[in-house]
Amino acid sequence: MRTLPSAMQALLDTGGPFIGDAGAPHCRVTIEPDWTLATSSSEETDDEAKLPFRWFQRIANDQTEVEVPNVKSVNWERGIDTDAGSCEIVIYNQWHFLNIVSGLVSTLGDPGHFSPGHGNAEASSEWGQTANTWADRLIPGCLLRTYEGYGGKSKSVLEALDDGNLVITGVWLCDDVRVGTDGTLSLSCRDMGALLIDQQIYRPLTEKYPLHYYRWDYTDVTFPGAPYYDSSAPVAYGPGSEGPKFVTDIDVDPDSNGYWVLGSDGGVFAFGCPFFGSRGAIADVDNGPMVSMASAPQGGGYWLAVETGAVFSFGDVDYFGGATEPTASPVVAMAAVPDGLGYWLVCADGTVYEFGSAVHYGDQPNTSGWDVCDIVSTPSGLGYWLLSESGGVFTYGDAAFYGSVAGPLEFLEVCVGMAVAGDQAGYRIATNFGRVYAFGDARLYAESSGTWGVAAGEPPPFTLNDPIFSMAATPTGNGYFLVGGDGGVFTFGDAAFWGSLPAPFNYQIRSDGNYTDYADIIRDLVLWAGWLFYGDDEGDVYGWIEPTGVFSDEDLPLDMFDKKAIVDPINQLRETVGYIMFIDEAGAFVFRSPNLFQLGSLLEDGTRTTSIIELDDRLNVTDYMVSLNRSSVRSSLTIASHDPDQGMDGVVVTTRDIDSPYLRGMIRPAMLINDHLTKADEQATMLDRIITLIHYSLRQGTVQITGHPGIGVDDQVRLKERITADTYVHYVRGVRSSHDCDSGRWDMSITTSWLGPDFEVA
Amino acid sequence: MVVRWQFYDPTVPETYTVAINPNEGGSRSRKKAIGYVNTSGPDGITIAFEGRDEPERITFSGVILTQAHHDAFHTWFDKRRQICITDDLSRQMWVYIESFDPRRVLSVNYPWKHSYTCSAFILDWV
Repeated sequence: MRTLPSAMQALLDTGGPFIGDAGAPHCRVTIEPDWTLATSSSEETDDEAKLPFRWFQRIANDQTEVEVPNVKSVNWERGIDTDAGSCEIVIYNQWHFLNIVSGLVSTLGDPGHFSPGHGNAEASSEWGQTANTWADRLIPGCLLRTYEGYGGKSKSVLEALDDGNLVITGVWLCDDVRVGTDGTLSLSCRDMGALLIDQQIYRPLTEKYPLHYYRWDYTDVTFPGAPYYDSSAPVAYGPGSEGPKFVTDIDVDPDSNGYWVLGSDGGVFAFGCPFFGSRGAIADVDNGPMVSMASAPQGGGYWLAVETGAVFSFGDVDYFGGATEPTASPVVAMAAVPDGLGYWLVCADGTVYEFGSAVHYGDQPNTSGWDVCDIVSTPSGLGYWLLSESGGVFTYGDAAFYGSVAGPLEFLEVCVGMAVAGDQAGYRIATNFGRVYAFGDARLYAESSGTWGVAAGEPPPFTLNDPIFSMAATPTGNGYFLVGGDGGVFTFGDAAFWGSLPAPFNYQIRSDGNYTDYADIIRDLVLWAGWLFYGDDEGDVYGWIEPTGVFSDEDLPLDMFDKKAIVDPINQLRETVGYIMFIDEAGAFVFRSPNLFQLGSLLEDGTRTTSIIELDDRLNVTDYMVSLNRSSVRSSLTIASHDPDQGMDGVVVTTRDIDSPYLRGMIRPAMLINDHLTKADEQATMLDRIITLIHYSLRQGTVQITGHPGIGVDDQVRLKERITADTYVHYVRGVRSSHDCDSGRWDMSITTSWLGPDFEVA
Repeated sequence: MVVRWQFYDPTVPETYTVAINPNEGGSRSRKKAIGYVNTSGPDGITIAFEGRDEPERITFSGVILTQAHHDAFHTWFDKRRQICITDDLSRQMWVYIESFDPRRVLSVNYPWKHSYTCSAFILDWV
């Protein structure tokens, strides 16, 4: 609810008459000629955290505005049910010169004076038009402001604002300009919500962009002692543990030749390829760390394997099963069958498990004391190789033997990964020291820092920050990747470098409670789109984003943001928490809980007043219609974290039964499946809100009043109307204003939901 | 001494002195735009609201005795641009002639005798 100038409020309280210098309806339109959505500098804010951003607001509100003359009518509407408000401004497209200009002998004044391109060379030669300052102003993309009120017509816009005759009623971005031979020029506009709708989050084009939201805060822990991984050090995994986390695997996307890097916590990091999801932040206390991943040979997804044998599928791949109970020996690697219809898991003791189309060709009993560390499918899928930490290679099915690491390996050096050289008859083996051995037709390739040799006994050519944990071959076989435990990626041959995990990523410990509230995500998005937020703590807020208290239990998926209009992820988060979003009269972004739960309205500074506007058929209501309907009524409401019919473990379900006289005993259940709501108390809160919203939607009204700029979206009003027996408090869902400057008639049509017969402050 | 009305067209430029002054009218008429709407309650109120004033108008009427006078008025009606009228009280106004309505009056001595009414809307006062 807006605080109006006292004289305007007094005039509205008495119901008019709206005549004369002090009371005639008044409407003005201005244009900001130099507006552009440009990257701002610190001149606009002293908060470094907000830079860089693109802006359209100014802290000092000192933009230059030029009044648009000849306004015929202004009609606008805004509401909580649309992403952006709209406005139609019509002006008379004619200018009357009091001083006759020679040459205008056949015209009365200057018709088309405000038309885009007026006075261009062709028009000038044909009709003697001359260009003026409006030739390129009223064009799509221009920024307009509407001001409305009562009285003060003889004043300038600024004078009328200062004297309380006008208040701002909208900031509008013009989409469409129509010029007609009827002598009018029409501007169709949307409010600044257009910035959210029209701007796309497109990763290559955005620099500093919040495309990932992680649950955990990573704290870098320096691993003590030797510069290499000490396998004898105790480690523990899973949420709540204090153990280190590190990268465990890398695999290649056959579609894009990018790669994924897998963290022991289940996080998957995509480089040059799509992200299909991860298990990061899922409470897998009993499952242990993620140890391996296998990309689908046909592309479009991947599988992740846990140490206990559980498997998770992501993207467009099928799940073919996993260990139903923890394996006797920890799973260390997995490999996909080339037909994409199955996979193998191998344990440290050499036991192989097959799923889907994968065929079991044999196990490798651990008789040498060296654990098996990797499994690789043959190109045909009719066999596989097993690699031991000692460098021994074991063949099964149609796998051919091309050799093993002859040894001896250095102290603490172990083999960690194997990669088949495409269709080449051979393979490569990598050690944790970064040395690569090639067998058969496979070749070694130079890394940018030099050729890596394979001479046994020689020290590693350089010191790695972290040991190598895995390797993967490019689809051609003419290159390979090595990945270190810190996420560093090294490329060889035709392997393209798409990036590594940013430092610091060394041995990260999760800090609980360091979550990103949904409101923070929305703030990032809105700042990028062009809004300013300043003075939050001092109450001088230009816009309002209310904390939701809701956090994501896992990484928000990349496809929620990538190549989407900004409004899409905002709406997704908004609907999750049941908030509303709209752009207010001053062009400020508002995101908050709907004003449904206690009596009163919110003022511009966010404070609540219990004094609400009364709309009375004896004073200011000129028309009213109320509709009662049962379309949204349900007999029961259920919220589930996942589909209960899928038989998944750990599904959380909360149900409420509803008794409504509109149902007369009919059964009309509804279920909402939302994987963001995984706790019973959150689901219960959301159910309460949904039930409340259904209750409020039972009775909706449209009331027409004289123009009242104090009423806004998300306000409450009390309606008094005899025929409908209405004396209730209503919630304002939308406002439509129609202002005809010639006749002076200014009407508003307000759509409302009632808040029940007993809605009083507690 | 009679001060004749004058019509002035600055684009030519051209000035016409009216042969016989209008004998009625010639002062501007004004009208406000007041609208009304009633509230929906049977014991409600009438809400008045004011819009933009309608354009000021001037209407004058008189007698034409000669063909030259008659034709001149037709010529000035045909001008599709604002002209400046100076009346016998030296009031000057920029107007756009809307209508010229001559009605013949039979006369033995003046075969071109007409009574007429002319109206224009006023763009500006000088």
